[in-house]
Amino acid sequence: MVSRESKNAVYTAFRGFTFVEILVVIVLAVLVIGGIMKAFTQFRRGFSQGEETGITLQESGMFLARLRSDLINAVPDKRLPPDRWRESVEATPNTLSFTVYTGESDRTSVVEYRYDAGNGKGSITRSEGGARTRQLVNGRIASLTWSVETEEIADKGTGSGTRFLWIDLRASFRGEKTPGTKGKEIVVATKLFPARLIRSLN
Amino acid sequence: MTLVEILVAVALLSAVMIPVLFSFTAGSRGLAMSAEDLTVHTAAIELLEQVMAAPFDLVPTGTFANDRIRDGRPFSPATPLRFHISDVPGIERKLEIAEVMKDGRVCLKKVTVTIALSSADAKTPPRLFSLKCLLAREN
Repeated sequence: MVSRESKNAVYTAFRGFTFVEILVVIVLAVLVIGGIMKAFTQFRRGFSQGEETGITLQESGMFLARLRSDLINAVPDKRLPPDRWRESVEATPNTLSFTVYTGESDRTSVVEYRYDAGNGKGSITRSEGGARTRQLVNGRIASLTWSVETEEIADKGTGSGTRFLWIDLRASFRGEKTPGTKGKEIVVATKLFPARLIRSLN
Repeated sequence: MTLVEILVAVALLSAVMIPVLFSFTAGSRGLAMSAEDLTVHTAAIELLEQVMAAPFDLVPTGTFANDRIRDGRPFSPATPLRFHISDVPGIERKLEIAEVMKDGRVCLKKVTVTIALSSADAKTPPRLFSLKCLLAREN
């Protein structure tokens, strides 16, 4: 026969958790797991947005660098009469074209940038000499405008004028590869001066 | 497992997670700075290119502070050149043009463009970005 004292000793040595202890552990576990899940979800969303922003930055930077590089090598179109120098760079809402000197083959060719608005997810392609088309920005342009501006200022004493020509570019880039995961908007507003072309015009 | 052990485990888990979350914040800050770099770099080149495209003799010397660098405003009374500037919020421009003499003749002009990007936090000093180039007399 087991005495009451020995029963109590067994109960004390192998005592389970109390209801309150289990509740506290469940509440803590829910809080911790909930916090981790929330942080992980935010991390994933932030990572996707960061990835979108990174790719948009890369493509917008590459587009600007490529356009600037082409404009550095821009030269006047020899077929144009001198009084039509303002048409050295042609701009429409969807195209921007001009003549460049290509050092590789020691000749000139026409470079064209084509903008496809694509319902808020615009793209830009570049072609040279009507061939070698390359996409520079793929579906990451929210809006883009470009225009050619010109100015002719009179030189004192010489009676001649100094001609200036530049491209006024305004664009808003934003990537959204996955629906609902928009990257940071990158706004570019700049004027690009084709120095070689301007020097040739004067 | 006692309640104290669970609390210690939770504290350790939190200590591990905090650096992970901080690393993500640093990544986001890096991307924001890259976007700012593109903005200031583009603004600096815009100002530098128009000076480079101008005829050597028409390029004035001096220091041009931000309040003088406005779209359509003349560089100075001594030249017919005018600034052509895009509206970019949050930046301040400064242009310095100095002559380099040789044999009593101006042979080069040193052009320095400085862009200051103000921070959203008023306590943080603005980030400065500079581009320099030399203009040579071609005739």
